[in-house]
Amino acid sequence: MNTRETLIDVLRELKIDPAGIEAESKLREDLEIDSTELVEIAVAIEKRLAVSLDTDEFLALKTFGNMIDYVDRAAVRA
Amino acid sequence: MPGAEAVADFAVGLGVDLVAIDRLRAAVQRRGETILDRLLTSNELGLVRGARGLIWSSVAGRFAAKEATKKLFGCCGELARWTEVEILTGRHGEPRISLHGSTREAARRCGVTRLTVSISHEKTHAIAVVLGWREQYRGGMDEHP
Repeated sequence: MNTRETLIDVLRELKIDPAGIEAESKLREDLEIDSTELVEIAVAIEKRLAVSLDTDEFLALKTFGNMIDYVDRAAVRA
Repeated sequence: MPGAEAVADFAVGLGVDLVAIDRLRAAVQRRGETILDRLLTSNELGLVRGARGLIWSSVAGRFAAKEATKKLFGCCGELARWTEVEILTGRHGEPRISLHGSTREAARRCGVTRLTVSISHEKTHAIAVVLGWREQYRGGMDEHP
């Protein structure tokens, strides 16, 4: 399972509909993800991929593509 | 500021945020208190624990106040970090904001010398409004027009 698939799986766990999701999809406006959910996504990703994510940086991400890139960079550092 | 007299306060920024208490509680119940460890300082964690466990309205109110502060700082292109914005309790029970580390420096760059916060909640939601002030001094070096 790659990063994109893992993130979509986590979104499903949170009952966030990933239908039609694209790299350009805006996390807050298009996917209606709020700050609480972003923190929860960060915690879930850390547990699944054994990476360390900075909460402030993660919550400042704008798009789904930004999120994939950020998690991929964290995985390289891990 | 030693030797300087504050003559006026100017509002230089405003932030507001609304938090759904049940959503926050559900997230913590699903993932554990590690979520709170990321958002609250040890001082704050002490303040939101009551005799029967976490006081969710208090957790959500602090969360909202931090988000409101982040919005205020974001308006001048600065980042306020979750655990560097501390929502404490004043002597009359009122909330007060204490800034630390890089967020304190960010406040200086924004020209914010003081923050005031108001928090309110009912069963389902908590809301917070944060105002950033710049104090103007007479006879001090930090005098602004």
